[in-house]
Amino acid sequence: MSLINVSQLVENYSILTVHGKREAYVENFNSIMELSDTLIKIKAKKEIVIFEGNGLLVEYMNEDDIKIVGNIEHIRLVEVSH
Amino acid sequence: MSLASFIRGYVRISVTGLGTERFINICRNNGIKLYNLSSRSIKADMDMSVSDFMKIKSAKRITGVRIELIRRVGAPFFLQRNRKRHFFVYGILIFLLINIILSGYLWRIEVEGNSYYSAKEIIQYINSMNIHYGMRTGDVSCYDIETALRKEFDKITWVSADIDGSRLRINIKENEDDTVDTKDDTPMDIAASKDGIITSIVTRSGTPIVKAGDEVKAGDVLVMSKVESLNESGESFGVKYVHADADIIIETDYTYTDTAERAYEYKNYTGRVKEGTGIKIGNNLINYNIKECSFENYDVVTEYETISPYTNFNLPITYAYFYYKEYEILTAEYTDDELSDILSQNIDKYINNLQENGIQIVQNSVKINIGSTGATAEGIIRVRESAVTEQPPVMEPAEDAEEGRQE
Repeated sequence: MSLINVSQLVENYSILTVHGKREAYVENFNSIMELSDTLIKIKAKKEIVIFEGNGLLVEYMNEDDIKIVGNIEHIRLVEVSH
Repeated sequence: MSLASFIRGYVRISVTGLGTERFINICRNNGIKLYNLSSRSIKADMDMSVSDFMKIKSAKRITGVRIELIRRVGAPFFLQRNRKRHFFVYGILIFLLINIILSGYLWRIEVEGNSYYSAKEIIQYINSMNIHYGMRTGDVSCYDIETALRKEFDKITWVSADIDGSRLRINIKENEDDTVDTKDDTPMDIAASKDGIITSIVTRSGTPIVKAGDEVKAGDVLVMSKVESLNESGESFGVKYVHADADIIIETDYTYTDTAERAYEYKNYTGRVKEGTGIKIGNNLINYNIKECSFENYDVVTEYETISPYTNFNLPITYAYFYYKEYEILTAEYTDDELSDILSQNIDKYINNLQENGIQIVQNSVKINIGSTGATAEGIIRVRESAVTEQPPVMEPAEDAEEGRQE
């Protein structure tokens, strides 16, 4: 049994938090790939997170996390091929 | 955007071009915080602080986007826009200055935890210590207030005074027991305050010199403060003076007389009322609505309405409302029954008043005589009461001194 290094885990993964249909947070992400009011595509550490819906808006964005609000209909995760 | 962002100021920009997403990512990598980011096709709108706006030049150059300033929001831009409106800016600055200056003065006094003493009573006492509304809070000594309140009000067991902004907060705790030790050791005789007959006497300290059934006159000593110590053979070997204490009931007579005239005048209000308003500044009442009331006879009823911005803080200006009620004076005569009722009621009131003061009525021999012009009530009311008073004793000189003089 090997011990898991928590800090390494946090660095290597992104955390996606969804509050109902109106709010979503992505922590520890890489960049924004596409931005419109119906689709927001975010490049996370190991996958691409795609938010689809309408009236989508980035309420804030800083070095650590991003908050997306609007009417979120689908969230898709697409694995990034390295 | 929060209040802090408003104070610092922020801008809303529109970014157009194919490299919009790249521009956003470069901004993020450069530590620029973006808010309310909305996008449609190749255009994105976003908010950022003024200081961050100064840092986006390199991102713009790299990505080749076009940046348009849509809106400038916040205090720096507001002041910039109104910089030529001198009086407006001065007004705001003067307002802030007055606020800062006035916040250094005492505007409220709050008393909490009091039930026996009223807040008004305590505030009046604090005012008498030269602590009043409008004085500098720095000149208020909370320690002095605490000490003085504990000293002045016996029932207060704990006081805390503190200044909170422009408010003086006083928290007190009162002693709920009534057992205040008021034992007085000063030598005192007990003397009769009225003529009468002693009904009962119970002495707790001192030497009684009267007994039940004795007739006494006002001023007679009933219990002496002088106490002699006797030895086994009944000889005195020492004298001491105490504070005499005894329950003494004396039976005494009150002479009662009362008269009532048959003819009387009364005010008949006509129902006509004139109203006026005024203002009271300090002790000066200014009536500014009515010149001179034209009624021949009238009563003035004045109602005051104090202006209190906070609890316990009244401005020295009071609104006054005047009501001039006209009346005419009419004369009438009481009937025999009415006269008898009036005098009976007066006697009852007198007796009730005596009983409320702990006086026991033994006999009431008041008679009502009704004549043609009026009626009189005369008689004696015999009562039992503790008609005594304390007086300092006449101290005898010490024995050895007497002996010295005889020699």
